[in-house]
Amino acid sequence: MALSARLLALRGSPFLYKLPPYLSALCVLVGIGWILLLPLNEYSRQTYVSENAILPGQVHTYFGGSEHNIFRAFRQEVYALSQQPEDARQAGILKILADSGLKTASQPYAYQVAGESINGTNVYGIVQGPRADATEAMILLAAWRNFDDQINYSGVALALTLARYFSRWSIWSKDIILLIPSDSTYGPLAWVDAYHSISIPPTSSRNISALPLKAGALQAAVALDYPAGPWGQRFSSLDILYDGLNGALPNLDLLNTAVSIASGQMGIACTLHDHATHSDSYRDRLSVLASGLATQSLGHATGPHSAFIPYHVDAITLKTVGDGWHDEMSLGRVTESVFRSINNLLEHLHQSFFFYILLNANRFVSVGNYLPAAMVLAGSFTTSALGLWVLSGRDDVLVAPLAGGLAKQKVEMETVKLGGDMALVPKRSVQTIERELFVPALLLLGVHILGYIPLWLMTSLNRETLALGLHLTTAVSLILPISLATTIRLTRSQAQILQSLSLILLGALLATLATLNFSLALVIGLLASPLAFVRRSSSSLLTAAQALSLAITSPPVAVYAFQRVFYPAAGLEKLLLELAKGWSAQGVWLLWVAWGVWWPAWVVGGVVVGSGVMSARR
Amino acid sequence: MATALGRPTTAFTTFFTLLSIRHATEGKLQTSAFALAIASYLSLHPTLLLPPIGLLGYDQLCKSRKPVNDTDGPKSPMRYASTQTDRPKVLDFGTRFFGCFLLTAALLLALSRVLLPSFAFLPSVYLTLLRVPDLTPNPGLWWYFFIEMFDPFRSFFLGVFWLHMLSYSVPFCLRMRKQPLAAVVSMLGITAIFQPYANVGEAGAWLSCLTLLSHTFEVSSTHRYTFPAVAVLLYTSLLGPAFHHLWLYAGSGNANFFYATTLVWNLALLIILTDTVYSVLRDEWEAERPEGKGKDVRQI
Repeated sequence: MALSARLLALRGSPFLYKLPPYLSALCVLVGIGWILLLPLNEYSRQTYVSENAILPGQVHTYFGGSEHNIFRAFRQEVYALSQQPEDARQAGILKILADSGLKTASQPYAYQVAGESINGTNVYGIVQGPRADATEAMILLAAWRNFDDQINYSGVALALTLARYFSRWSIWSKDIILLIPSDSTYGPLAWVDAYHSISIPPTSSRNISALPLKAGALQAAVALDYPAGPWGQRFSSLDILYDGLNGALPNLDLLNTAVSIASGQMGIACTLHDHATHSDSYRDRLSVLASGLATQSLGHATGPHSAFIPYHVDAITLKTVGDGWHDEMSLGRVTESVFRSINNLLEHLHQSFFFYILLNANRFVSVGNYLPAAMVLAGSFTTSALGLWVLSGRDDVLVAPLAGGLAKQKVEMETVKLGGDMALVPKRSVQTIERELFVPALLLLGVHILGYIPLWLMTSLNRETLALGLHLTTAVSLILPISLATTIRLTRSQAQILQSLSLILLGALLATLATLNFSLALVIGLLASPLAFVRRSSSSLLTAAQALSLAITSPPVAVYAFQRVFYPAAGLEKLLLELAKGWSAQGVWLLWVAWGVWWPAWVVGGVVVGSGVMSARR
Repeated sequence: MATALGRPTTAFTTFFTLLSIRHATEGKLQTSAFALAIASYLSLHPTLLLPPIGLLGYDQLCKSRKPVNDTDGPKSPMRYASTQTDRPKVLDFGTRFFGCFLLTAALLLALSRVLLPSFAFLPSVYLTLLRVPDLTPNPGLWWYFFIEMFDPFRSFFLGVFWLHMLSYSVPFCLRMRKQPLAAVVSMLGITAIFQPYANVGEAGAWLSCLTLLSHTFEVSSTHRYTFPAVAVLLYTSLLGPAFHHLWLYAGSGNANFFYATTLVWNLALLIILTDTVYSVLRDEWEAERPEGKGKDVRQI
């Protein structure tokens, strides 16, 4: 028989109807296995600098000598300022900058989230390149308090020294902005939002002043995190932070430049994600990969650099780690060399990758090698959905168990021709029944709209009641699917259509999310994978097992488990507060994906399982 | 809903187009021409609906006109004016319809001229629609071509693209003269897909108008590709904004990602359109040949 005839013969074959769950399982296994294969040498590459203009480490850095004395003086000044109240401190920093010849300004900001207010003032100055045309700018950041809430004495002092040092050179083709925000997360966010707008109208959660002083288009930003105290402390390696908000990453060239300069020109080891020792074994690479996936999927700020990346300004944070023999002048020379390289650029960094996963400071996985993992996971949902759609069009007579009574009914037969062969089949097996779409579609729409309620609860409640809100959501999540299943009686076909539509939507949303934030799509895809396998069943044992597996992998339980495993000391309230701050202040989409995409799909899965109980009771 | 978010003025065009169709189905040719003229005055492309809506109005007039020699009274089997003598004259109808359209359009343009300082609005409104100088990315097919085109060839391609779109109007009327409403809806689909400044609102309005042809939904073995086409529409309406953001805001994609998604969006709409045309023609064919009901088509 011809191939087309063979394929047509498969149309009624029961094998195809049973295949989708196995295909979905295969997709999930392939997705997981794909990630585990990535740390191998065959699937990753050495990093390299793509932009020829950068010429990393080619310049001789003159930062040293008497600049060291100036740095020590500034460090004592910064320590003295840290003892004073905030106004005096800001005035002090402004004076230091103004004395170095910079144009200075400050910007107050205030965020109100979950009943807490986050206030601060950003202080900044601009070094105008004497021969520059003022159309572009680079930023040197040193937050007053670093991400762990320690005062960034040496970082701020180094930034002030470098500002004074840079203002004496005439080689700059771009302006240099020195920014000293109050904290590492909200200060830079307020500053960069104000930089890219004329004015930001105050809302109930945000009040950011406009910037009185601006320079040209921002090209790149480097942040320094060096919390050593007034007498200094040498460090052993540099940790480079590169995650931006919502999983956006800076151009890999900026990282490669920094790593090449630090480890090549200066001899400082570079690490990622706080992995102080990295033996380049499979295990260490997998560990860095997993850390990268975790920070990217959460999408929250990891340092002062994070706020810049959504504005297409490549930014990294250099954080000093450990106790070694590199001192502040090495860090200063690294920074000077990085700024000289950025200075060479004629356009935004665009040659290298924007989507990558780093295995160590010198090894990365490019997007073509890792993206299929998330796509295949989304494919598992789509495969099940298509199988369910086809099944929903089949007639009940084929699905009902063959009872003795069936033989007595007159079954209408029909001849089916394929090439030269003929067969006699029951007529109802080749017809499709009409699908009742209205109730399933309405239910799906309703559940997705309901998803905004947990989202509102998790982002708008006060700090004290956030945990209560989560408990309430958990309770509702357990009750809602069962109550929906009992009030809305679904036929077998309707339940299959409902699940099919929900899984198609989930698969489409996860596939789209994978192009924007790969790690979040991967994590949600893994956590939601049982949804592709639950089915309406009249056996109470199977229904109970399915209900248990759904309950274990539900969004609220995931939040509890996340807190217990990763932040056991912080407590549930603190974690929920950080998540709420992420949504309201930083604009992170994580909560919407959890409550607006995953939770409705989970509820629909529960409704389908619950409808099995109802059908058995009939 | 997407149209409400975008707040385009095509909402008015769609409103007047639908008003025109509605009056045509009631046989009121003057009001139909009037509404169509307003729609064409706002965006130029409803002019393409003149033949189908004219045909629809004429068809409805024929149906509503009683026969002249109605001696049998209400029990007469001849409900419609089916003989040549009973029908309204085609030329008469056409002149009145077209004339009403032109008169309204002239009136509106004159009103614009009175309100505005000069005739400069004519090139700035209508020539921008015809010459397509604004190539802001939209879900249409034109902007990408015209961005990369060399100037000497621009007029040629402009002519080709417009000729392609114009060439559907009359053939739809000829082929679907027994179901003029189907011709109207199909033409709406053609303009939604192929117009230079395509937008989601017109595509959405056309998809809603498909329910006007709901009598074809019951015809079995038609609408074969609804599920894949709708699934593709879902995927592209999610990926389109994602790639637009990645291209223009995140700076990490390029125009090709977005345009490819747009192409797939239009492909899905086109599949729905061809499926609809197939179902309309199949419905006609099955009315003539009832023994063919339910049989699959084969390409020979």
